[in-house]
Amino acid sequence: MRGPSTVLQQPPGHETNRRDALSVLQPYAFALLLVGIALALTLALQHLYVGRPSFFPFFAAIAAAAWFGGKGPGYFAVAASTPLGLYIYSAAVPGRGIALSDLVLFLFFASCAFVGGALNTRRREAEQVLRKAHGELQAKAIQLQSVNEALVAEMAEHARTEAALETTRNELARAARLTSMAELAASIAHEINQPLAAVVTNAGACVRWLNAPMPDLGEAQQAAQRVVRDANRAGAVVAKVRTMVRSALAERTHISIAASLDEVLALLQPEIARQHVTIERAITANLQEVSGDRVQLQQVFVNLITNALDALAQSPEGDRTIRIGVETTESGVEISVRDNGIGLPTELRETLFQSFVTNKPGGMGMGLSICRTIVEAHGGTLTARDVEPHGAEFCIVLPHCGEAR
Amino acid sequence: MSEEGFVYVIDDDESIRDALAGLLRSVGLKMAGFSSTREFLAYQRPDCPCCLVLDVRLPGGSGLEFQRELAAMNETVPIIFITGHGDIPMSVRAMKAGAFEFLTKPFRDQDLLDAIQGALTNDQRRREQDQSIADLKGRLASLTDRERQVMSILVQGQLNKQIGATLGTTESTVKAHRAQIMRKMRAATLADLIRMANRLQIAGETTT
Repeated sequence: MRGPSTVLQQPPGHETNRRDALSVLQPYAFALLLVGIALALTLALQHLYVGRPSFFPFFAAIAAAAWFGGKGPGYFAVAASTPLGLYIYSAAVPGRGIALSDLVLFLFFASCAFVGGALNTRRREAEQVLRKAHGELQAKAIQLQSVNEALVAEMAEHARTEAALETTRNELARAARLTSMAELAASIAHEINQPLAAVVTNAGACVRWLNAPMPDLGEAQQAAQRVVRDANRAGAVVAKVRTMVRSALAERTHISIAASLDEVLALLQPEIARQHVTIERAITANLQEVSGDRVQLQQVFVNLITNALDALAQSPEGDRTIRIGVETTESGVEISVRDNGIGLPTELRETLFQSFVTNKPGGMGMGLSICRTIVEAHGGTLTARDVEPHGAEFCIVLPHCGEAR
Repeated sequence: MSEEGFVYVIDDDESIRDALAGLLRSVGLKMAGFSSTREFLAYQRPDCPCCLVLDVRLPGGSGLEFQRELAAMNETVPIIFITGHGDIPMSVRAMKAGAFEFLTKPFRDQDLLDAIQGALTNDQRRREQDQSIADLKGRLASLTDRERQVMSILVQGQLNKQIGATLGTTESTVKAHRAQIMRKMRAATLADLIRMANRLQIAGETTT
């Protein structure tokens, strides 16, 4: 660090010397100029002071030379002024030679230069102090500025960390929501599967008792009663889920449909991309808000879009489109999810929204049933229809904000 | 099936136990239901062919863990797993660990009955094998040391004369030993005796 800075502080020697010489000579030239002016003034005003020439211009010139240039130029001015003064004196008073009294003039000139020079030194010292103070101030200012910059950078860093934290928090919340959804679904599946297995087994036993060579009606009746008991238990589970969905609706907020849909689409994006499905957004009611439970409505959207994705699985890859529309109608906000897949299975058309109705291998038949429950709990309707030339459209109509039950 | 089978059911869900009890009764199978593995272990099991219908999801440990525990206790009861949420890795694990069948709830009653029937048949066969080996061991134990020595060489296919030379006795002595061995082991032919030796895994021993 030290090496380069030393080099930088030493400008090319040759140039500097000449500039230094110039700056040293400048006050002397200035002094000479002042003395010249004083001489011109004295000569010009000579007729006003006949017999007693005035040396005020010279005093002024010496004082000025010393004030501006320091002692050196001051004495230089004295040296230049003294012979000129004597010459003028002798010219003004004919026959007068150089007397001892002229020494007094010289001394006056010299003391004038001395005082001017002393003042000049003082001034310089004061200036130096000032300059130093200024320099210190500037250094302080620079230091302050760098501190300020560091602070600003730190604040930006802080903001970035905060943003990253916020993102992570959101992702975590979403993951937790998904996990709880999956867990809920798994636990509902288990709760329903148990009595369902019992129903199947009991029904099998009942048939066996009746089919026996000597049918045992008592046993058959017991088995049938167990069927009724277990089927009721499964029904109770479904009722419990419905109640859960309704009671969870206590947390109503104003929800932007478009923003909620965007989040859902972001969530499903990997699956959408994997299946090469094109999403068409036809959202005309961008700012439309409804009142309700955001997570539950998003679950409905996830379910409908996932169903649409499933329906497109058999379509040729270039022809898989899901159109998502949001528009405002008189009855409310209409959200439609339309695919150009195989359409609704004919045999399920009447029972589509009932529990345990499914055409998916491994499906539980709960999705659309829960969807309709959620939408109805929001005071809305969920309907399905076939569209031309092929495909299905699910349409949710939710009441405008403030109109919900 | 010559012996009657016995089916144990471990499932914490009472309605499943009730349903299985009804189903098994309708085909004339005896069963006992348990809500936990502890109850099952505490039960005095009858000495007859049996099998275990085991739920994968149990309170306090999974059915798969219990399968390992039983194996560690040298319990050979065939296990039929039933589960409400079975996936392929789980079933592979169970089958690799020796499960007889892996059924997903709700299962067809016939599938379960077939599995139980198969497991009981298997268990009975195993029991019979265990029984016959125990018999053979009893017969082997009735041989004298010298007879056992002769037998171990005999089942390698050596002639009486060779055996005599190996053991340093006469051929007629070996002949007498041989007759005793055949009688005590209840072997009709030499081939019978060799088969028995194989099952007892004594072939190859030359001297004691």
